[in-house]
Amino acid sequence: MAVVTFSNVRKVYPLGKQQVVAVNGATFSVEKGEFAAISGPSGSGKSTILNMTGLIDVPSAGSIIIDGTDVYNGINLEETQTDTGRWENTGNGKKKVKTTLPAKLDNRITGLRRSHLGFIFQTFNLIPVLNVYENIEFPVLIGKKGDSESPVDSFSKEQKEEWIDYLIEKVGLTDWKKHKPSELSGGQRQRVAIARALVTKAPVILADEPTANLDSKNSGQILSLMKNLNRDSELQTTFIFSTHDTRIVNMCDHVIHLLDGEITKDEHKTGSDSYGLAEVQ
Amino acid sequence: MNVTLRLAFRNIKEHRAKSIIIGMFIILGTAIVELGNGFLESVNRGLELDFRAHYTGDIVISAPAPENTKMDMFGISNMSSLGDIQQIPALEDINAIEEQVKSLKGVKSETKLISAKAMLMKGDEADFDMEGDSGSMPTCFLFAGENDTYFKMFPGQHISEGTYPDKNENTLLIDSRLRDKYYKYYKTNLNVGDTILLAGYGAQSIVREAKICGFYTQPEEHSAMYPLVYCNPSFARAFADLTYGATFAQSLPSSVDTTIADSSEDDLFGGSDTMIASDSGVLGKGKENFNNILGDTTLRDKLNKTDDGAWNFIILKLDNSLNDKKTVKELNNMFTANKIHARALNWKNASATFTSSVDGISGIFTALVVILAIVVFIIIMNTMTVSVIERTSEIGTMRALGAEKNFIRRLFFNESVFIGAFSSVIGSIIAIICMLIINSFKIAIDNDTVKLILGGGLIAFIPTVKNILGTILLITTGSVLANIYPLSAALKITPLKALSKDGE
Repeated sequence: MAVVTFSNVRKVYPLGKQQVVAVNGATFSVEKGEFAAISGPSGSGKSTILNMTGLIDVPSAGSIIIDGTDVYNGINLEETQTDTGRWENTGNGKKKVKTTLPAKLDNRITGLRRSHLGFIFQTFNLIPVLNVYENIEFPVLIGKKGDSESPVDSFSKEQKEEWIDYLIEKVGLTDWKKHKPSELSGGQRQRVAIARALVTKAPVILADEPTANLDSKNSGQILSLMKNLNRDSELQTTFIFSTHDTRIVNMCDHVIHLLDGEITKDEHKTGSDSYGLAEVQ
Repeated sequence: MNVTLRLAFRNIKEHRAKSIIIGMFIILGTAIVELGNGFLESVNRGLELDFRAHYTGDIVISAPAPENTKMDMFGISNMSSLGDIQQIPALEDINAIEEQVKSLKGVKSETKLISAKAMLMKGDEADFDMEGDSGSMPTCFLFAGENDTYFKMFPGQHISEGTYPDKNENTLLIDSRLRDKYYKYYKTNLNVGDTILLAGYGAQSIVREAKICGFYTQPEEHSAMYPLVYCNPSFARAFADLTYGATFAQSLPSSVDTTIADSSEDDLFGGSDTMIASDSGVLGKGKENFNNILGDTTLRDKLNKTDDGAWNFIILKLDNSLNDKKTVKELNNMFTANKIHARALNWKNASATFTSSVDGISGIFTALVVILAIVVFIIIMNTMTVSVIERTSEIGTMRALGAEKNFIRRLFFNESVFIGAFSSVIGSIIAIICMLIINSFKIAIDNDTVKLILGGGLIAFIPTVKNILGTILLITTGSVLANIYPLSAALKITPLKALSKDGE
């Protein structure tokens, strides 16, 4: 069953008077439980695809289905642009580009992000004033009752605490749960980010160059951890990476190769686990 | 604890420098506003207590102010032109006014008053060439109350020497401050039993002799009130121009041609040459006729005689002084309905000479507070905007993790409310401590001009719950409003920006 489906997705960025096509007609699916990578050289459009998958960037055309929800169904995508804050010459003098999404669409997308998607950023992006436990707990606390589809929302307070403790144990930070991000190493911070991505039991975890800021030892441990979580039959989490790290690509069972905004190869591999894990462990 | 509250507290703690900068401005602003309000409250309350108890009562009834003038118990100020000092007009139809007053409920006591301005003189005439500035001249208000009722209503004078003025003799009870002024100006002491001259202000340069019957100190030590001299009504009427002639002129119907009053002597009697050389004209038929016309002063004397029934003011004290506004309105309606030429004023309007300067200071203070508020507002807005830029990654991450815009709004709202409320409470505490310290020193200024401007000589502060809570609410609201622009900047941060900025 596909958890992410792109159909003829196109993304165009205005650059001055010109239009830059970042992604052109991307069509692919990622199945539940896959360990997938979007790979390609810098500027190939992999981050743009990941951002659109994570619903933090809006496509210019096409359709994106996340866990069965056609996100932009019935929406005129030409009218929805993300905030660029740019001034453009429209012919009638300079005008500011309409930058914000309509509130209703913004709230729907935000809800989908929380309940269906987890994020692991290259720069960790933990909330500096919260400790490890609180950072992981954060996505659970921001849910609005009644409009969220996250299974964690139905948990009692004790169940939520147990679940967060379980994740902290899984990422090996039990002794660090009261520490602030500034007191942790890079690897530990990324572990917190992984646990935070998993906390809402989102079916898809998106990771943008997750090992770019880590040394090789920590990178190996983080990748190993994510692979184990991917294998965990209880979680059944799908991981999608944006990367040009060959170790990650080698570990993945599904690799989407990009070049100049177009998919050049949609590769499904078998037997990648042992190779990848062997290399990183 | 709610996650937005927790985050707000932690952010305030984390961004200490920013929080302290904003907090210090709010503390300073709150303290200034509350000290100012406390001072004005003290001035207003002091003035009200002093004037109601000792000079104006709760309500003052007077004749309407002449056209283009402002009038209170202490004189008339002409707003359109400079000219002779006008005297306060007498109340017309005083019996009709008293009838209306009797029909009112809640009137505790009533008295009548004549008020005029005068100056103490040395010897036969005022010596205006003496050393010293005009502000130190021994000028005073001359107050003459109804014999049996006035000092019962206003018994607060502390008589240091002598007695109250005699009902039948021209005697004066003099403010001790005026005695000091007299000494400074004329280098001569005044004592009980001395006879002195008083010169009146106004069109008629009247001078009268009177005997000093006593000296008193004013009821409130630091009162803004100018020196007063109490005397009997018939003596004061001459200074207040309450003569039969004046009363007659005042009651003339508008149909009577009074333009002759504006004519010059030459217009009336011809030039000086004509008067001496010519045998014709009104005065031209010889010495006998001249004496016949000007020699008979019976009518003039009659018109110049003081009108024993004339008063400038009726003063009322109410059972409940809080009803003054309502009673003023009621009385004015009665006067209008019964076509009585009078008006009722509350204590404040009746003593506008003193209260208007305080109102002026309140206005200046309000303007300063507005300027201060704008400056603080801009500083808070600027600091918070910088803070938003610093926190772009954090806000973007929250949005990426599923925080709606309302969550970000609540977060900023909580932060600004907490900083605003906490700092304004600290500011209030500092202001109260300052007030208590300054009050304990009992700082007093003994300068009449400063007293008039500040509504009294005592520099004191009264912190009121209303002022303190009002200021805290105002400042907190202001700090929330100062966050509108930074918040709008924060709401424009998209999750995409979280990826383009370095995270933690």
